[in-house]
Amino acid sequence: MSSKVNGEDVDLRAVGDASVDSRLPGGAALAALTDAAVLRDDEEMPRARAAAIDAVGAPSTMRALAVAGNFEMMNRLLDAIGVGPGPEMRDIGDAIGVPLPDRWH
Amino acid sequence: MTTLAVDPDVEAAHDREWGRLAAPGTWLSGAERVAVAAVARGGDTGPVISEAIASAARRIHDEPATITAAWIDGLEVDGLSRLAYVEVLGVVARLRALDTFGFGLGRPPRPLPAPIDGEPARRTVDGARFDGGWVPTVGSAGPPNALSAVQREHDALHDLHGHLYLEPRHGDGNAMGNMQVVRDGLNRSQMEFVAARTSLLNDCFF
Repeated sequence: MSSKVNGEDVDLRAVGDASVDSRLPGGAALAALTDAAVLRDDEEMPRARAAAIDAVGAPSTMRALAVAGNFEMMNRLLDAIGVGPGPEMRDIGDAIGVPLPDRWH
Repeated sequence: MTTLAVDPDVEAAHDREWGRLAAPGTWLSGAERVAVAAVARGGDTGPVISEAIASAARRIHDEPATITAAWIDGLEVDGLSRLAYVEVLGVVARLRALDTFGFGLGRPPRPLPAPIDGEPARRTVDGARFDGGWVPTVGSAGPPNALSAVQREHDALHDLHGHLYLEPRHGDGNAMGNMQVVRDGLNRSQMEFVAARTSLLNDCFF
């Protein structure tokens, strides 16, 4: 499943499948950076950070980490107050290879 | 290791959050707020907070996707009011945001601040009621108003959200309504990709 955003043709399946090319500039490096930061991977973090700097530059790497931090916050807020995806999200989840878990059906 | 320069506005937001963390809140004292943060980071409860508060802090930090309405009901039976739960949630969620950011930068965890003496404000918000969520909110429960039953927590959320990501408003500039926004060279599609990947790792499907 792809989506046209700002003239970019983005393959959303890359969100859940690292083998898929998102077609975003630096997409794979941003995914690896996010994984290392959110999973608190001490070993991988320096490599992922260096690769992201090579791919998108230092300022964008800093901002990507800030965005990941923000969604660490928002994910907790929503899960902790019982706000989940609406019914319209079920098809999208299936289409991008990230089916919604049973608790949201 | 390459050192990443950090947006001064983000650094200032981090400083403000540490000030809020140390100060008396709405339902918790400064000492209790700092203890909540310490426990969320994996420390001991000590004598400062109850086991119900500590349990909430740990689960919000480590396993948010497993939280259920019945579990929050149980916390209330054990003495943690819904509004105090909202405050614990705000403290832990912002801590997690800034700790993840710092870890990604390669920084050691920032030491927690010394608590500031004083009494909680114990102030309720007019119009907050149960509306689609497990806690009271002003309006239908959703991302912008998740903490709206505790005004200081709501304000703190929006302060940090706007500096780490985007401001929840329409219009130009660093606004969620601006699909053309580019911040520090990162375009909106790249931001949303990072956001979606983070949510997947957290098992959050909103």
